[in-house]
Amino acid sequence: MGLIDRWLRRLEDDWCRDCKCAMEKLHKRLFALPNVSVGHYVERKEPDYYRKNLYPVERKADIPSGMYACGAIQYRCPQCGRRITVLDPFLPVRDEEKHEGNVVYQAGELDDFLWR
Amino acid sequence: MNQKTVKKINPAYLLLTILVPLVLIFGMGYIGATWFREGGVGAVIFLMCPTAVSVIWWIFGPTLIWRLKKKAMEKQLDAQGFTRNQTFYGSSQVVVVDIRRGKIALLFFWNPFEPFLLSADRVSKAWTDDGAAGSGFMRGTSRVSFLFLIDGIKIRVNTFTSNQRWKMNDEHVLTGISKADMWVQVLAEAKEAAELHHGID
Repeated sequence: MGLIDRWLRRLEDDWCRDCKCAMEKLHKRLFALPNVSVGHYVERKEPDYYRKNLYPVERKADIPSGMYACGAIQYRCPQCGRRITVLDPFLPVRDEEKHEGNVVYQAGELDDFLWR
Repeated sequence: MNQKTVKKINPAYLLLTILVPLVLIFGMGYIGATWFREGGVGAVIFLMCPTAVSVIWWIFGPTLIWRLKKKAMEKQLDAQGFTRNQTFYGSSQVVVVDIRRGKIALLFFWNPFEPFLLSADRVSKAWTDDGAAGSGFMRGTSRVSFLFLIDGIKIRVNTFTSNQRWKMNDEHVLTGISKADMWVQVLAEAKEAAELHHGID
């Protein structure tokens, strides 16, 4: 990894800033956001909002047209054990995805919800 | 429920909107040119004012009528107990759907005095047109729309338009496609509900 790549890597969500290493993927789930339809997305940061509005689905194909989906990935640092949860709300459109920007939780706000 | 054939354009309204100001300009112009040959305030009033008023009318008049009629239609629908589950405000038409009762309300820019309230089972076909053109890196679109046929009359509602061609994976295009796909699904659900209601009746 070159210097520039390493510097850019630090800006990614799955990078442990304390240990300066890549975190490993611990858990991954796909959810539907049924109350958010195309053209009505508003960025939300409150964990409670996601707890109430995310519904687990098996596949992207299960999400109806015009409805938002949300990928959730939990990362763990192999060195210090720190965990973070990254939510990725997106609009599935046929074979493409329109991503709205990640929401990152660093203090285990959604741990109980994701593992239930 | 409205059984009449859907009419997207009211020719009388279209002609009045365009021609009446023209008649006004020429009529007043003729009077101004005949009575005020030497110019002055009278000539200004008769020659310039009708033109200015007409231009203002062409820019704002039909849009103002359109806005007022849209609001009036929504009030009328609410009064009739129509549940507005989905509404799409297009540039030249409004489509409102009551999914559970299987009803569709339509209003057109060039026919704003005649709202249509129809049973969704009159929709024979609904589909998305992503407007994709070109190949390779030039592949893109400048218009995405959903279309549906009511009694054989094609109604096109644009969900994305541009004067440039955008890549198919551009976020504006994706939003347009998603809206169009969602509307095709909404129309299908409403049609299904309407057919079910007719079966029960």
